Amino acid sequence: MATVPLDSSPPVARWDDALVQLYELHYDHLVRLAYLVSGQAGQAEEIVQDAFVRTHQAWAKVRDPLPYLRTTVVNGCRSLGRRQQLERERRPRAPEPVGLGADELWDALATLSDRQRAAIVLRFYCDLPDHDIAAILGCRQATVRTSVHRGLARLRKEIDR
Amino acid sequence: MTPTTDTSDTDFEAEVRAMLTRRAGDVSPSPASGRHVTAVADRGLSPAPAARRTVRRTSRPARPLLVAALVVVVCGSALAVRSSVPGADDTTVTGEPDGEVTFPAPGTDGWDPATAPPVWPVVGEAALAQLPDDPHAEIGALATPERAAAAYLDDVSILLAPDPAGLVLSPDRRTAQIPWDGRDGGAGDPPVPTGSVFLRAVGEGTGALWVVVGAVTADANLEDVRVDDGTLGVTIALTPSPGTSVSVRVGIDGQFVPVRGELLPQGAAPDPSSGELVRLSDDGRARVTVGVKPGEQADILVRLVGGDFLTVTHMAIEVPVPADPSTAAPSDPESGEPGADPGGQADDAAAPAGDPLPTPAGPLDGTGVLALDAGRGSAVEVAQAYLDDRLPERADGLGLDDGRSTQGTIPGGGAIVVIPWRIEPVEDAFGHVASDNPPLADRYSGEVQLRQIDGGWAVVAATTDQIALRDVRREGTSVTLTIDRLDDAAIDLIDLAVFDLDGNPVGEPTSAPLGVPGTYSIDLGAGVAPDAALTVRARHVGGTWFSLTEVRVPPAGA
Repeated sequence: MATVPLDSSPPVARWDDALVQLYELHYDHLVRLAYLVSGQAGQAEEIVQDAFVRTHQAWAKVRDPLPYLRTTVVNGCRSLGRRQQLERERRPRAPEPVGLGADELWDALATLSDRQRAAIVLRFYCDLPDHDIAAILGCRQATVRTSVHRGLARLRKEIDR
Repeated sequence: MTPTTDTSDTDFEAEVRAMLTRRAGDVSPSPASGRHVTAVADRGLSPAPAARRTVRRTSRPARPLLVAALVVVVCGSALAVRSSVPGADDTTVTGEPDGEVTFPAPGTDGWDPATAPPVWPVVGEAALAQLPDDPHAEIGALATPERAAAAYLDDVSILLAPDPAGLVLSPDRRTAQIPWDGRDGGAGDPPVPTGSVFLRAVGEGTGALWVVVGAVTADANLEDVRVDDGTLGVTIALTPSPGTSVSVRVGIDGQFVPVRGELLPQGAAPDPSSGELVRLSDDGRARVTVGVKPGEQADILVRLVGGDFLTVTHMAIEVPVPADPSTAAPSDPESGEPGADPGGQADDAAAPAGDPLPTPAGPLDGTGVLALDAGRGSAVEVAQAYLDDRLPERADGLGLDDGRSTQGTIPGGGAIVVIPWRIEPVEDAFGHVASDNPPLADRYSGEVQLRQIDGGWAVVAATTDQIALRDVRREGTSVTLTIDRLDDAAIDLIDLAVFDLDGNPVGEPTSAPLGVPGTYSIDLGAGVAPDAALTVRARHVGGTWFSLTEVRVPPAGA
């Protein structure tokens, strides 16, 4: 019986290696992405670590890990925003006055909608093309362009105020 | 008109870009090692410094965890069952004089489904006892051989489906064989492959579970399965397809190990559950080997690849532990071989019998009926009306998977129907597939459970596979419950609320962050009778509703 030659040398690596490599290469960048999209430094690392764990869980379905990670991070930021919004609704309190501080452009970023903010960050920080941003945000490319356009307009309006 | 970025905005864009780059420096990531993240994920812990939630193993399909509790509940009895199964010695693990041990492949002479180690939802007998408790598994995927086979095939290939009409039960109803075939071959397509899934019952009576112990494919066989000097070898024989390749996945104690093939999927990141592409020789054969140690549990999964997995051939072995010479079984006087070791678990055969299995709670015990649409329409129609009522603005694609519904009979009369729900991938006009969006498609799934009452159907409960509630009870003027298994992101949110049977809210709803197991309390306020009929709902809230879990609140003191 003909068989494929055997190689009985012991396994040298586990499948997790690819994800570990992704982690080591992109962790820092993804944390900064999470911070810029969520605006919350204290949550950024947790969001990214969650994203890696979920990517690890979903590895069997992930075709392209880095875009998947980016998407998971951005969605994590949006979920964080939804959660905080719901908490605010459950525990109503007087809204804090919004004023622009020393970094007025950064403060103005907080006035954007989730989608606009994510689109701005993905475009101008990650330098992603419309197609990739659309995939991450789950919308059309035209919507990305609209979000970026309106986000920029809103930023300009805020700092001109 | 679609707006475009005007060149006049260039300076402002540069300013925005500079601001983002500058502010990105606000955070100084301090990552643990990547190895740490995958390791803690595998151990079911959070990578965050303060471990906050449980995470399932990547190497385990989702559905096994849904049915974990039942497995745990019955594992003690399983041992007893195994020890008392007629013909338990039929599966022959043959010891050779030079230390080799051979294992019969599923469906071949010498292989006995009644004693073979499970390949799903866990691999190996010992693993059954290691699964966590899951209160939502009462009538879950392992309740019948048909359901277990369907869930198993769903896990190994979306193209394969069981043919329940072909179910063959053994005379003692402890083992079953169900044929499978491919779905939707379509005109002009080659004939769909066929095969069988073998299952055996674990536990007794209404609490019995079904686990998969092997799968075979016509014309794709495992041969010469052998452990020799720390190496597990198996020959894959495929006819009549010379020159083709198959996906081979070997797991050792839940970890996939390399088999020296090409990583799958090709041209993309390696996918541990897809196995590796192993090229067959001209006569359609290949032999793969991996290192093993005594006591390890291995499963060998071979699938023909063609866009997706077209076939499934699967078996598990448990690497024998060298016998203590002082307690070794006597040799067969005729063959000179050591005594048979059914399923590689000779020690278990002497285990004491476990307690009788408890009857699962839920629809079977006749409690927990929600007052909704009983008596109107079919079970599917009632379940659909229920979803429409509870989740009017639900996520795109969230709906019933009534093609996979199952029906059972309650002892003493009546019927129950379990209809899965899930979030199907949705493709929008632009061609974006929602399954690429992690929070939506396939993120949640569950069941709507119905019971026949007075000739009609009533929803008994709704479950979400990823959100488990337990210990729901009245305590004074509150309802308390525990969320004890969550797979989701810690930053998400569950909305918890109590309703009366007319759907009116009772008390103050509260919120539980996903990923934070713990006990929560919902204040009902004054004036709610201790025996008031109430339900508690847990829904993942986002822009829409992503999930639904609803169970009855037992009356105070129950």
